[in-house]
Amino acid sequence: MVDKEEFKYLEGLCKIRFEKDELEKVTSRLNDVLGHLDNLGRVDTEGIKPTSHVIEITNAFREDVPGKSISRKEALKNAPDTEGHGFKIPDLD
Amino acid sequence: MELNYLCAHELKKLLRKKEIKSEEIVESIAQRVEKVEKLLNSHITRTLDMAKEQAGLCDDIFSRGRGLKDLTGIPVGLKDNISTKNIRTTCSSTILKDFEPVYDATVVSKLKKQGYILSGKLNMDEFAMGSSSENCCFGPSVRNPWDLDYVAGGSSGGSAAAVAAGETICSLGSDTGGSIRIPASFCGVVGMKPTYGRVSRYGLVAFSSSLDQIGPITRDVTDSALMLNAICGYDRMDSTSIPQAVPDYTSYLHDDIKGYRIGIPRELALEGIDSDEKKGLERCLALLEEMGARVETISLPVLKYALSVYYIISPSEAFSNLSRFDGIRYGHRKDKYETLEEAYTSNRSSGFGDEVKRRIIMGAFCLSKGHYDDYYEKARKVRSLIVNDFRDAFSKYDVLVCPATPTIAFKLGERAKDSWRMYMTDKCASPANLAGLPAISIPAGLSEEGLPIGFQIMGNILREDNVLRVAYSLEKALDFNRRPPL
Repeated sequence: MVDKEEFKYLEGLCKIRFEKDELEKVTSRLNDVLGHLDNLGRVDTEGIKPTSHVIEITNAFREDVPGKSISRKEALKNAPDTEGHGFKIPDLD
Repeated sequence: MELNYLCAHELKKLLRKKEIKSEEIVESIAQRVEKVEKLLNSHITRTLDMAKEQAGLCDDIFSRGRGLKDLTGIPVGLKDNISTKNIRTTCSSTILKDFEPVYDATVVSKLKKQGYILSGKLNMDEFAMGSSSENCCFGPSVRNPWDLDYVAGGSSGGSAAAVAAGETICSLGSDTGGSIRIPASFCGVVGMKPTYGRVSRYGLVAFSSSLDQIGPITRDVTDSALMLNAICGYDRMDSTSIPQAVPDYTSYLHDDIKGYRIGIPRELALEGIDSDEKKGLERCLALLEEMGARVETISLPVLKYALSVYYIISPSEAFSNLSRFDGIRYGHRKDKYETLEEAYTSNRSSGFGDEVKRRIIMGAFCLSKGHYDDYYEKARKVRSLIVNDFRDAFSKYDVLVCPATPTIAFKLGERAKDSWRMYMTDKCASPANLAGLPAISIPAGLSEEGLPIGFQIMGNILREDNVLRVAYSLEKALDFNRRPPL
């Protein structure tokens, strides 16, 4: 069960904040889902290796050669704010 | 002739015989979009003006008669999480509302080589998180063309609704836990998720990288094979891309499955399935037997846990993938902050919708100290058991079949407030993603209320041949009327 304090901690990890008046509802919804996920505890996984990817591909290396990349103009194209050749962030105290 | 309702392979023949022009196809689509789009909301960005220009160029190619490909001059819509250079790609999210990619996804480059025509960027659940296409940040939910009070399914709801309603000819969706097959099933069209790694994910905005796969939504199985021919193949830009040659998928379209061994996993086909889907299943099984296939019910007990595994692994990977959205280099940004920490939190909190925020939080929980072993690590171990069980099953059976969804389409708003009830929609579809299997959903008829029923066929890794062959044979036998009343 996630309590108020742990939910605040998770929000901090995610850099996400719910409105104060939503907190109770969101926490209870999360706990309801977690309750359903708990059934995994019943599965015996002793000695089983975890799966990250189903296709056995390892070390998909390619040659390290310089190639065409996006231009500076393209890299900055979607920035909310820029200055000179860089991304600009808002003034911070 | 209403060209917007024909299949790509039918249009291809007419184009080559010079009986029609690509411009006429685009025109018939434009008229249809004009008429029904305000009811369906299947599009985020319309590109029909560009499409008309493109059609003119295609018609020049046809008049010269050289360099023709299967999809030359054919309109295709793209789910709005597939990057299109200089064309807005939003993932149906406020955080990307004005985002214009500076490169094309590999699938888009491949379609361009075919001479396709982009008909529009299609609506979806935000960042592909949803089973109903109700989590849309631009305009209302996508509606089902068979009955506007019902959901189109998700997350590729726009891709399925647009094809079903004749707003485009084919589309691409993405499938992380059923997001192609679920809406295809709800909208009465064909949705195919290829083997994980068969289609490059380069340029697909990542949700859950070990599960995401791009695939086609089409009106029939033949078009599905044509689209696979166009988009499959090794890509060095995707480190999980399979370095193997791609066959001609149309060569598997044989109406002959005599002696095929077909397994019905009880956990996905018989338990928790509503009466409409069961009726569809029974009809399909009877036809498969009539065609000479050997059909048997089997049990893969660990599949009971597949949905839990999916709803631990996918939010955990999403937590990591979506950490890049901070409103600094691109994306939505709010104006005033006290601290940098506050800047990130404020941009993300106002840029993401509620379901996306809930899943990121859930991912953080599953990965956090004290819970990691019981959730994320445990889920990855149970995933191994699921992979093993499927491997054993495919040593005895050519394909496994079950409904694509536990129920037919549900009413708008019906499951929106109950997360787990919504997540249950993915019960039959998500196991194929966990094991990387190719799987298709084809329409198996209509319910009494006139809503489509979807039937799913899963194959072993890289055995799209078996999936397509069974789907093609069954499609012929079912003879589904593929046009909604809208």
